[in-house]
Amino acid sequence: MRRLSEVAGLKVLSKASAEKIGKLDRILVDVPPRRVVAVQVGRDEVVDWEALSGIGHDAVVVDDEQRVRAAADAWEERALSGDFDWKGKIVLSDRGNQMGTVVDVEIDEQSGELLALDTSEGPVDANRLRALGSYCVVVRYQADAALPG
Amino acid sequence: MSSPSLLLRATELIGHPVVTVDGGEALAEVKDVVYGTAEASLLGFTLNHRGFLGGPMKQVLAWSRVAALGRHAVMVATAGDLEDRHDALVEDVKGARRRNVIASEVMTDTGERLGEVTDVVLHIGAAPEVVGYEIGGSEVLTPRSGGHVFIPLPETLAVSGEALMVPATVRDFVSDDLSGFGAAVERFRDHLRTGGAPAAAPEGER
Repeated sequence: MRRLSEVAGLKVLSKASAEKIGKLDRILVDVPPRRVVAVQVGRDEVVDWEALSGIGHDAVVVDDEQRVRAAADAWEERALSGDFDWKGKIVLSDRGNQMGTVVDVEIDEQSGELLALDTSEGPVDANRLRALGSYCVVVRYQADAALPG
Repeated sequence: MSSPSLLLRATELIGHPVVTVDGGEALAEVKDVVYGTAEASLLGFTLNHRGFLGGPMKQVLAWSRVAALGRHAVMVATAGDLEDRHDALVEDVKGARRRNVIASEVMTDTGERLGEVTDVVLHIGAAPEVVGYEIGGSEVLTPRSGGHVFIPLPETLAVSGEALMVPATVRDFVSDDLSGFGAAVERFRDHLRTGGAPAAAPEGER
């Protein structure tokens, strides 16, 4: 498991050339399926998750700099403009109750799967996520959870 | 599991964002709550655009389109729930301003005036409903709480532009603070169902 705060800012290197491509600015997460689909490595530049060969403690390694591309659609453009940034985002249950704001995000660095949100009120399991918008993260109400919503 | 925080005055919803459940986007904020007269209903909400330049929106949100009401937001399924195709509702909303339940006299079936309606109390959540009224200006109930008491909604109730008619027994279920009101609503409903004598309300119940 890695936290977003740990991987943000890591340098991004090419496995093919060993050249530095940039640094990891953002992760782009699709909700659902609650998975990292790409990472931003420079202004208007992204790399698909499948093109990453590893996320280590010191660098993110991309198969080949040829895999760096521009935003492909409106959703990616919005993501690169910061609309879907996690940190500080309001966490709202689908019942309309606020559950704090996002402090950090836990991801599985092997699969790209989102594992949990750390919110200002406590952890929330990622399988409760319903949507990520520019206004908030929507989380499914769960009566028996520590933060039911 | 009822908790005091699940009860909310309808006017507290003013300023709340209207948020899409499966988008996480804020579409609008509540400008005003539109009360109906029949069956103690809420017709819906008029809306403002969000942000500094937020002015009134043409669209309205019908009560039937609300997916959930929370302490911090009004949830809808999609942006389509606000569309202009609810022209009929817009007319209802305009008409409702002239027959607002707010400020109606509250009268018991024995002809006692209990006060007048100052707000509507909602039980919020996935199936929000009107559960009672906030009553002001009551001399009969002599509230300790600055002239305002809460009165549970009877299951049968007559409303006109003139008055809100309640059974005289409702006086035994009045609460002077919102936190004790949830229990009062339950007791009152049980009483109506069983037709029995009112259960003694514990003094100082939370």
